[in-house]
Amino acid sequence: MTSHDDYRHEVDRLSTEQVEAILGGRDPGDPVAGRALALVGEIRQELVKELPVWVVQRHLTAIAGARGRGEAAANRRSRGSKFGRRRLVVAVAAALAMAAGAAAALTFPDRPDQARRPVPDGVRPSGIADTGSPVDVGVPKEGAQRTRDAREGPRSNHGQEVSGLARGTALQGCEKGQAVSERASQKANGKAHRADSDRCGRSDRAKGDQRGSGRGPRGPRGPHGARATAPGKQASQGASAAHGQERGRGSDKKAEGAHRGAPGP
Amino acid sequence: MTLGEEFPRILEAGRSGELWALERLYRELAPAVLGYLRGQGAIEPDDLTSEVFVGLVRGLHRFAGDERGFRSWIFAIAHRRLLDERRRLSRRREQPMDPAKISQNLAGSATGDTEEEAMIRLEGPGVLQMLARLSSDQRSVLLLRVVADLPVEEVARILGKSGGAVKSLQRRALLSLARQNHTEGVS
Repeated sequence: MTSHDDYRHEVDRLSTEQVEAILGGRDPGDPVAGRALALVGEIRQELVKELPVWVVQRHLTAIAGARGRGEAAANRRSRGSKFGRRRLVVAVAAALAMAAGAAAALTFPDRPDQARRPVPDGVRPSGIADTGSPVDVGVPKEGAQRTRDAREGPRSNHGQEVSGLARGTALQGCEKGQAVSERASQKANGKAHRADSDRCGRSDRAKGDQRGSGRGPRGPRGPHGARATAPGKQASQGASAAHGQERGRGSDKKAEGAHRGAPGP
Repeated sequence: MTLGEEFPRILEAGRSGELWALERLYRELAPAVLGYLRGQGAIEPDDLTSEVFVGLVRGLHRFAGDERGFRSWIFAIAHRRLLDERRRLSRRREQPMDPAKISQNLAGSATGDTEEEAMIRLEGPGVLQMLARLSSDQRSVLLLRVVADLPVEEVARILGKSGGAVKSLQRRALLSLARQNHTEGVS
């Protein structure tokens, strides 16, 4: 058996508690482990020494500097958090502005040719000067507008229809006003205006009395719900109810003509 | 460790930046930290010790625990600083050297291993030479157990090993030391 084997056997037979005692600098209570204990003590004695004064001063200076930098860093972090919040608010505001701009860019035309709308048979109004603006402002002719109304239906231009009815000469007096009122209120109410025939009948009856003529029963409703009765002058030419009915139908045609062939509802 | 019951008060004062508390902690732990770094063959153990305590001051507000945990924490910092130094030196092969030893180094002592070369340059009595001949893990375990006075569990945590592995390493380290001591005694 060699000497190396002796020492290996010596260490191997130490218990865990004895090894712990040796490493902790305590006597393991075994003379065989004395040499290991001495080695550990020598290591501790050699390595753990008091530092030279100049080294301690240098280290303490570094520690004091680190403490100052640490406080400054803490202050910077505190200020930085405030600035960070401000930056966040500015960033959110900028993002909102960009989103609004993007939405506007998608909604509004960005090119002049997209903004230009063709004006069908339109005539530039004399009151508006031609400034070269890409957006054409044109008022179509009355006839053209009526033609378009006839093509697109009665709901295409409600105001034009009411205006046309008011300017037309097919109806007169109270009935014209009633027809205009009904037409005007049709869009707002979504249904035909309930005509107060009694009021109009009373006034027209009074006029008819003055003219010495009676009125026949009312004709059927016109295409827009207006009662298309014959004008007072025509009604005075015939006094019978049959004639009144005929005239009612005839005035329907006139009413249709006034609306330029607009289809019924 | 002699701080004892004063430790919580000193720790709190140190967190508040009180210089007297930081100095007290330094004077209590610096000799062991410097010894650990010297035993590991650090190139500039004084400078590395300074870095360890600067890191302690900066990270003191993050520490939570008792005196034993505090000791373990600062040696964990020291161990990481040591590994950082070795990693840095392995990337940049610049090591301060006594000009008188340049020729000796050029004669063939350079091994290409930063740690090994650092251990070869260890000077002093025979015990440091004996430490240099231990494996890296054995030396770390032995120094953390003997110089840092840490229990097996804390050493295992710092080195990232199991408790059983640490016990095995410390036993082998003692065996190696005893064998070297016997060989030198015989020769």
